[in-house]
Amino acid sequence: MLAIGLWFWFGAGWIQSQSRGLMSPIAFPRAISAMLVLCAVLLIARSLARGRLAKASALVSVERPWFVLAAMGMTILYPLLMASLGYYLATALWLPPFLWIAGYRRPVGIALATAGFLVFTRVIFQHVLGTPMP
Amino acid sequence: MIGQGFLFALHHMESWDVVAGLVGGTLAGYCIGSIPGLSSSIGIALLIPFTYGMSPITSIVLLVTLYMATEYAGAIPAILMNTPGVPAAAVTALDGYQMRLKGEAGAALTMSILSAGFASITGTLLLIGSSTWIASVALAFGPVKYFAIAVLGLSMVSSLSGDSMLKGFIGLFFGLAVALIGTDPMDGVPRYVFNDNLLSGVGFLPALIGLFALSSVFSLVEKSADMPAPLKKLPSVSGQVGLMRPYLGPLARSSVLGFLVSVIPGHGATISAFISYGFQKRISKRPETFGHGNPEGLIASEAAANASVPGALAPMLSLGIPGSASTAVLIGALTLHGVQPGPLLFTRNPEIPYSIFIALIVTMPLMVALGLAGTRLWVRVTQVPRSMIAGLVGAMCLLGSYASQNDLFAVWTTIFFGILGYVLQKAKIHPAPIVLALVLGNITESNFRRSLITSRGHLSIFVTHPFAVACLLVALAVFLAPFVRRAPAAAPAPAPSTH
Amino acid sequence: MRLRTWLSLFAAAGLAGGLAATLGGGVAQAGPAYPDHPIHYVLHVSPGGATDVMARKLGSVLQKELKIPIVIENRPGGRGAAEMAIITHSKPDGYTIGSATSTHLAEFHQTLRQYNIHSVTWVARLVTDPYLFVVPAKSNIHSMKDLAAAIKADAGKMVVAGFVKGSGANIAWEMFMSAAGLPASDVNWVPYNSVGGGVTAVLGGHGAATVAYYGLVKDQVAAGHLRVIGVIAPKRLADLPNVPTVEEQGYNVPTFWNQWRGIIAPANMPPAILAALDADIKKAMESPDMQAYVKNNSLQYDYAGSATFDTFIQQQDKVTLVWLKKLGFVK
Repeated sequence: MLAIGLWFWFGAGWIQSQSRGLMSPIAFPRAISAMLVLCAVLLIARSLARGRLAKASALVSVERPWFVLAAMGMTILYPLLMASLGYYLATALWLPPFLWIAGYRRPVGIALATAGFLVFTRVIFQHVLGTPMP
Repeated sequence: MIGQGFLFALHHMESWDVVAGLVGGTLAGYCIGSIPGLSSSIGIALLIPFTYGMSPITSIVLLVTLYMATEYAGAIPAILMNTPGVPAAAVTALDGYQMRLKGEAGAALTMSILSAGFASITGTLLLIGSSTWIASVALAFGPVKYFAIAVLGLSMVSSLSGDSMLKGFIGLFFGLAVALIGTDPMDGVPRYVFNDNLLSGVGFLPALIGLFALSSVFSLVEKSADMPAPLKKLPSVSGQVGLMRPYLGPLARSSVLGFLVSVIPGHGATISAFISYGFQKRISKRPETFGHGNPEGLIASEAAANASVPGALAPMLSLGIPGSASTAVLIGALTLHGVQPGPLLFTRNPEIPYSIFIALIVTMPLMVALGLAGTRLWVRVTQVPRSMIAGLVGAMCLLGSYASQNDLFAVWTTIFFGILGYVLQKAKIHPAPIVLALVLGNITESNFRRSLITSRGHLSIFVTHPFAVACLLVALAVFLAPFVRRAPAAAPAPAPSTH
Repeated sequence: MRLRTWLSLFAAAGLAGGLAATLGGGVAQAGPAYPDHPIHYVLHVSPGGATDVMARKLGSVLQKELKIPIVIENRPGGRGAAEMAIITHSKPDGYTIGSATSTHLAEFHQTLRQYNIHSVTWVARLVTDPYLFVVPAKSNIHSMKDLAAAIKADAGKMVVAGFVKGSGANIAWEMFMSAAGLPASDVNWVPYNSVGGGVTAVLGGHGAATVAYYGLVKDQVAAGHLRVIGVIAPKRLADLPNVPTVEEQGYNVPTFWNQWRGIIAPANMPPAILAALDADIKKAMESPDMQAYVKNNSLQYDYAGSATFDTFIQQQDKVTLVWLKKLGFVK
C-alpha cells in the first residue's frame, strides 16, 4: 500500500516535469510517463478490489523497523563523513556502528573487520588501481 | 590458413611473460569482477598503464583474460550475497541467490563456473569460425533493426516480473523514465536534469549496486536475528561436473544465443544475459520456478554472459568496431601499442587475433579449475554471520560505487536506489525489470527517433524490414502472452513466496 | 621484470598520491623548484577512451621526465561538470591540471553556462584531429563538388549519419553546406552517439556520407570500404596527400575548425608556473615516445603554448557561438 502511494506520486511527478520542458525530444518521455501512471492506477484499482478480500496479506511488515531506519540513516551519513573527514577516517568511524546496527555485537570481531576492510581496500583501490580517495 | 595463423601466434607466445599475463589476468579478473562497481571495462582501463612496458601480445593476452575472468567472477558475489559484481550478474542473481538461500550455494557456484567455461569455449569456436562474415552481418543493423531488437529485449520483462505482470511493467516504465534523465542522446538538450551531475544521466553501475546489493543489505539488517543459512554438502569434483548433466540443452542454446546477441555492436553481456534468461523461461517446462532458484535460469544467464565476450570481440577484430564497452577499451589499449584493430588486422598483425583466440581457449581450463577449487572456499561466506556480511557488503557497495566514477554523487545515487530497492522489495516489485529498462532505454529511444528522422517522420519505416517486423511481432506476442494465458485460468493461485 | 618495475612505480605513485591527499595540499607554495610534489591530472572522461588513453600516456612520460608522480583522476560526472568543479575550486599552483577538448567550448554555451573561457587557464594544445568528409567507396561521389551536386539533385533525401547535432562534426558539415549555398534542410542529418557511430552506420549502408576523424577511417579507407573526399584544414594532411582540402575545392570554410585536445588549469595562474608547465608538457610531447603515440593514432601533432592556445580558444569560441546560434542551440 505504501509503495502504491509512492508510485502514484512518482507518476504525477513525471508528468509535471515534462510539461515544464517543452522541447522537441519529449514524445518518448511523455509516452513513458503516461504508461507509468496507467500502471500505477491499475495497480491501485486492483489492490483495492483485492484488498477487501485479503487485507492482511497486502500489509507490509518490517521486522526490525528501527534498525532498518537506522541503517538507512547511517548510509546517508557515510558520504557526508567521507566528504569532510576523508575516506579512511570516515570508514573507521562508520563501520563499527553500522556493524552493530546490523546485529553483530562482538567488539573484537568488529575491530578486526574494520581494520581488515581498511587494509583490503587500501591495497586494492589505492595501490593496485590508483583510485583517488576523497 | 587458420592453422598457420595459430602456429604463427604460438611462436610469438612462447615466453614466460605471456604465461604470466594469462595467470595474472585471470587472478586480477577474479578480484575485479567480484567487487561491485568495478566492471570489466573499468578493470581493463585501469590495468592499461601496467601494459606500457609489455609487448603487444603479452598485454592483449593479459587484458583479454582479465575481461573473460571479470565477466565470470561477477557471478560469485551475485550468488552468495545478491550483490552482482558486474552488471550481467544481476540476471544470475535472480536464481543464483535463491539457490543459495536454499543451501545450494555450492551447486550454484559450480554450475555457474561450468556454464561460463562451456559458453566461452563455444563462443570462442564460433568466433574463430565466423568472425569475418558474422561481423558484416552485424553491420547491416540499422536504426530500425536496432529498435526492433531493443523492443524484443524489453519484452523479456514478462519473464522477469515474478508474481505480478503489472508490477513488472511498473518497474519497466520506472526504469525507462530514469533512463531519460540526462542529456538527450540526439539533440543534446538536458532532460530532467536538476543537478549538474545528472547531465550524463543516472550512473548505471551506482543504480545497479543500490537496487540489488544495498537493498539486500537492508533486508539482512532486518533479519539479522535469523540463524545462519543452511549449507548442503558439495559432491566431489567429478560429482560437481555431473551436476550439469540434466542441463546440457539450455547450456548449449544459451551459449549460442549469447554469442549472437553480443555480436551486434552495443549489445554486451547484460543484454545477452537478459534475452537468454527470458528465452529459456519461455521454453522451459517449469517456468513458474524461475526466480525461485531454478538452475536453468542461472545457467541461461551465465552461459550467455560469458559467450558474449568472444561475441563482442568479433566486430572488434574484423571491423575495428567495439561490440561492448570493454572492447572499446581494448581497442584503445591496442592502438597504444601501435596495433590498429580493423579490416586490416588479420593481414597486418595476424599474431594479435590468433593470440587472442589462444588466450581465450587456454584461460578457460585455468578459470574453471580456479572456480571449482574456489567454490569450496567461497561457500564458507554463507557461514559468516549475516550481520557481519551486511556491514561489510554495505561498506563495499558504497565504496565500489564511489570508485566506479570517482565521485560522491555516485554514492548518493546508490543510496537512493538502495532505499528505493528495499521499499520496492516490500511491495514485491522486483528490481530486474528496472535494470532491464536502464540497459535498453537509451538504445530503444535513440534508434526509434533515428529511424523516424531517416524516414522524415513516416512510421511506415518500421514495416519495411522483414527482420524488424518479425522482431516486433515476437515482442508483441511475448508482451501479451501472459495476459492471454491468464484469461482462462480466471483466478490465479496465490503465488508461493519463498521468503 | 619490466612488469615489476612498473608495478612498483605505480605503487609509489599511488602511495605518494595518497600522502599528498592526506596532507590536503597544504604546502602549495610553489617555490623555484616547481614541481616538487605530485601533480593531479583530472580527466573529464571515463577510463579507456581515446582522450583517457592519451592523457595516461602523457602522464607516464611527464612522470619520467619530471621524476614527480602524475596522478591521473577520472571524473567523468556530468559531462565535464565534475572536472570543471575541481579545476575551478583548485589553486592555480600548477599541481592540478585538467584535460580539455573542443566539446568544452560548446558545453560552456549550452549545459555548463556557469563557466566560460575565462574560468580556466588554457595551458597547451596538444594535438588536433581535422574533420574529414567520408563516403562509402562504392558511392559515385568523388569530390566535394560531387557531394554538393548529389545533395542538390536529391534535395532533402540524402541521409548523413553523424555525431549529435551541435557537435563539432555537425558544425563542420553545416559550414560546408553554407559555403556551398545549400540550405541545411537539404540533407537529413541522422544523429549517432559518437563520431565512430556515424562511421559504422555509413559502413553498414545506413548513411550516404559522414564527417569523421582520420584515425577512425584510416583502415577502412585502406581496405577499400570508405573514401575521403575532403578535409577541413589549412593544408592537405601528410597521411592523405591525394585528398584536397575543402577550401581547395572552392568552398570557403574556417580552416582552423577542428577537434583538439589540450590541457587546462585553474584560472589566474602565475606566469612563472604557467611557463614552466608549458615547457615541461612541450618537452614531453616532443619525446620519441609521445611522437610515436601521436603517429600511431593518426593524430596531427599541433602543439600550441599557452599564449597561442589562448588566442586559438577565443577564435574557436566565437565560431562555436555563431554556429550554435545558427543551429538554434543557443538563443
